[in-house]
Amino acid sequence: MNKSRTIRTTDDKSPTGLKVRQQQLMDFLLSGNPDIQQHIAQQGKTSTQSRLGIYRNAYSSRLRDVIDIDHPITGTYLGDELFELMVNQYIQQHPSNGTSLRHFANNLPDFLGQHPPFNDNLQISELARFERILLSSFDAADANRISLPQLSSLPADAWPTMTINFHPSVQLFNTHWNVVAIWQAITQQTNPPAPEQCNESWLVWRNSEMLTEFQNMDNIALWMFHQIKAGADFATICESLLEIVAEGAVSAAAVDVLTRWINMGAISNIGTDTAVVRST
Amino acid sequence: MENKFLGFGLGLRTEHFQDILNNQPAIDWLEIISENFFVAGGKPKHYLHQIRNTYPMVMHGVSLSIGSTDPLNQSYLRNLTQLIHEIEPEWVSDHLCWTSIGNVNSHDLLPLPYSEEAINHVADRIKQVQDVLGQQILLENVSSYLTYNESICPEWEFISEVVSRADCYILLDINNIYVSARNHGFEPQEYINAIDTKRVRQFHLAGHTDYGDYVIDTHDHEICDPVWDLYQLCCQRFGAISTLIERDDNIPAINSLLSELARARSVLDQTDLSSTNQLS
Repeated sequence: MNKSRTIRTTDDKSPTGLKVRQQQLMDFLLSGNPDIQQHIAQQGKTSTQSRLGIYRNAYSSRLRDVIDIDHPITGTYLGDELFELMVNQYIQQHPSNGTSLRHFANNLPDFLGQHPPFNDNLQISELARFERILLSSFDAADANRISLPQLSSLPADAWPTMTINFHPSVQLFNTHWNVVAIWQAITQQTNPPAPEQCNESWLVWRNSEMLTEFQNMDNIALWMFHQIKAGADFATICESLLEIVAEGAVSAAAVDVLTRWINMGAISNIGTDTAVVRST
Repeated sequence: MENKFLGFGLGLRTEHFQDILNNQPAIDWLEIISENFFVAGGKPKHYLHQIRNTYPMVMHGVSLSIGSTDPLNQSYLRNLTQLIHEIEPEWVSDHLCWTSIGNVNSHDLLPLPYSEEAINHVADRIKQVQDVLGQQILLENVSSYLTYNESICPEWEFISEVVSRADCYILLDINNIYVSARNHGFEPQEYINAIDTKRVRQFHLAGHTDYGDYVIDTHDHEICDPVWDLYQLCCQRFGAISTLIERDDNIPAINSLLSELARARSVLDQTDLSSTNQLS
């Protein structure tokens, strides 16, 4: 047992201190800057270049795998050659600045929308954005979900002032391209449709089985979504719906959408003047 | 911190969630990668809590970046603290390395120079982390592929000095010792025999990829015979230490890993423990 420490004190407060060395190694990982090489010991048959190369390869390989796992459909849509181009450019331009790889590709949709050759086909950026919204919904916070009997138990005079709160997994995906159809086709291993410009809004949420789902939103649902997000109560929502729904049909239309959302598991609770109705 | 022998465990991986929940295989305990559960909710968290109800757990991090010259990441420590409260692990571990600098994360376990400056720096930061978490932590020796010219001592003296000054514990990764021994040309037995028996609280076993002139710690193969031999030596030297098998790629069915666990159990069973834990 070696109990005596042989560590010598040394003047390590020189310019070759720890901080400088760490920055040099990071610079090598990011750009191949060779400044670190002279500070690495020559050992055995493996050159210092090869030793550093192990780290650089691991760095790019790990980040490549993250994009591959997070964006399988975008990857398939691009094909191998463009996928590799995207990965290499993105890794170079967007070093990870978080402790979790979960967020590494957060900027991928914007990157694809801004950089050639990808920005020649804006549906690619939109497809990646749809995948990120699905990911975001997948591990959003948990919360209870209200049931229809609970809604029905509300006294009639509570309805006008009730406020509605979505489940934390609920997201709105607005797009100008038919990327959901493209996503569905590739998921089902069929040929994706040709890209087409269209205005679509999709509600994305995680259901009670913890599976992520999405549903096309009609104008009334979209209108109500924005009103709910703005904190409007039910009377205000119905009043505003008069802009797009005939007067006699407003209440029924609003209740229809709300019922659908409750059945989907997209509503966590309903607040009234006196209480919050939530599932137990 | 007492030396609590948890038995023989596995790293919890998503591929095995369902199998573990349905069949409750004979695994004594599980180790989670902390950062994988820094999410608000959803399926991974759901499975984690379900499995936690049945199995003892420890938390193993990869992004503490204890050796970095950046300030300690307070946001990371808050996430870690939150997960500790949720999981109530037997203990918390990370790696004796650095992963990030200048707000850029390599997501790799990068080696430190074995210098006085690094020892002082890391020991001080470990104390700060232990103060924040309110508990002593374990730090794992990493596989490494390069040596800095300014290193003034072998790795085993570096790690011994750090844990002694910081008053923390060691997660001794026996595969990493083998990998680094091959890459740097030292005797792994010398490393093991230099470690204070009172400081080791956990073993890691894993596979690697052998490229002839160098070895990479890939966790995608079965444990090789030389590592089993070193495990036997560790059992003789350190006694009954909680032992965990890591597999991160090419992940087999759980039964295959259970066979390796049985082999580990058999090695310890056949070890004469009467002379262990008295060597320091």
